[in-house]
Amino acid sequence: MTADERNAALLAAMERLFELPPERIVPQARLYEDLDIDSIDAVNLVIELRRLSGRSIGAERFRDVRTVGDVDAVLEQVLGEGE
Amino acid sequence: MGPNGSIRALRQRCVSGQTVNRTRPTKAPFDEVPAPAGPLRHAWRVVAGGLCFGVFGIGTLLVSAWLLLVIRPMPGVSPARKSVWVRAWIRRLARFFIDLMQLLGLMVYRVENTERLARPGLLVVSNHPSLIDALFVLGHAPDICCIVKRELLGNPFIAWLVRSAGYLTNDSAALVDEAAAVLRGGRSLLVFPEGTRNTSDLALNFKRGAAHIAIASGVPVLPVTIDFTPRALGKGERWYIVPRRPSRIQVIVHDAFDPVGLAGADLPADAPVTRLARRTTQVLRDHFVERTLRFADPTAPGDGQRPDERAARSRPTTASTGAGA
Repeated sequence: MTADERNAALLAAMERLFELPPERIVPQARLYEDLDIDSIDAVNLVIELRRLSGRSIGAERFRDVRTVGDVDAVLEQVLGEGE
Repeated sequence: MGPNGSIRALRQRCVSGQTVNRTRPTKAPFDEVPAPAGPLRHAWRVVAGGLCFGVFGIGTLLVSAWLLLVIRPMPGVSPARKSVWVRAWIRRLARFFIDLMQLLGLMVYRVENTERLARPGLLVVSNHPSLIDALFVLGHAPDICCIVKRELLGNPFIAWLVRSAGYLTNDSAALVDEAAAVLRGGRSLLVFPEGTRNTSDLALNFKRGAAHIAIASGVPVLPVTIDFTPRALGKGERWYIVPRRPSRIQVIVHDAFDPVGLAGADLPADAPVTRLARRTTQVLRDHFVERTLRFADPTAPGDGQRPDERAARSRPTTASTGAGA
């Protein structure tokens, strides 16, 4: 998966789950404060990321995640590990 | 025979509506707008308020001691049965406290349609203007669970009651599933979707937890509105800040409804639960806004209200003036 594909997949997932307009899903957007994503949403996002990466991702990897960019970084890391 | 006989006859006439056309008896003080208190009376009410906190502490400790020393060691009774007893004691305590506050002239209250709380397995949802909101519901529902803030377990007066009543705490990772299990087990559950006391009933900033619980459990939602005018015992307020007029608290239990069904109607069947919860929260909030807009005199300069509070409540008026200018 290239960086562009990964970005597009994350964008699509967040649009689908959270009804967010794509222009608000930018790397520096904070999940809770800017995008109104709560803890239950976060659990659903992790499930979605597992599905689209095909990898098992432990919830503990998201402990320090604050922004969309952080989520993307975790996803990149997880995909990199498999190769 | 004479006086008794005539009283009985009078009662019968009353019942049949022949001589006296009595409507349902209501608490008289509630229907009058309480007059602002003079300085002496106001000082008394501050003292009485403090007294209530004292009585609350002693009452909860007494009941805790009773439960801990007598009920808990009792052999041959299941823990589930015991938690029913704990909740029955909490009901009595809650009722006692609000009646005491009313008796001392701190406030007047009325709870309408309490019979609706008797139906088992309902998600009871309420707005949250004050510290004592839960008492009105807990004091009038036969057996109800609730979700409390984690911090309450740090309060020595009620921590033990909260634990042994089987209440859920808001810090649990599995809160939605736990709540759904309570509801599917046939017990009702009280939730404040705002998560904490609000600063205005016009904002009603509902979190999505209540919607998730409604979705996961599939039970109907029973809306309760609390009109607390003038506001007191709000978030961050000191207990000794007592409004000049005693608060008039009108608690209305509305008809049960199904916000999840209404929300799902305009979503595709395969929409993710996160979207359904957003829509359901919107439906729930709209339902409340429609009912809280009818609150008594939301723009009245209630003493005891903070200035920001007053501003928030009168914003609609200001906005319309601004548009006209």
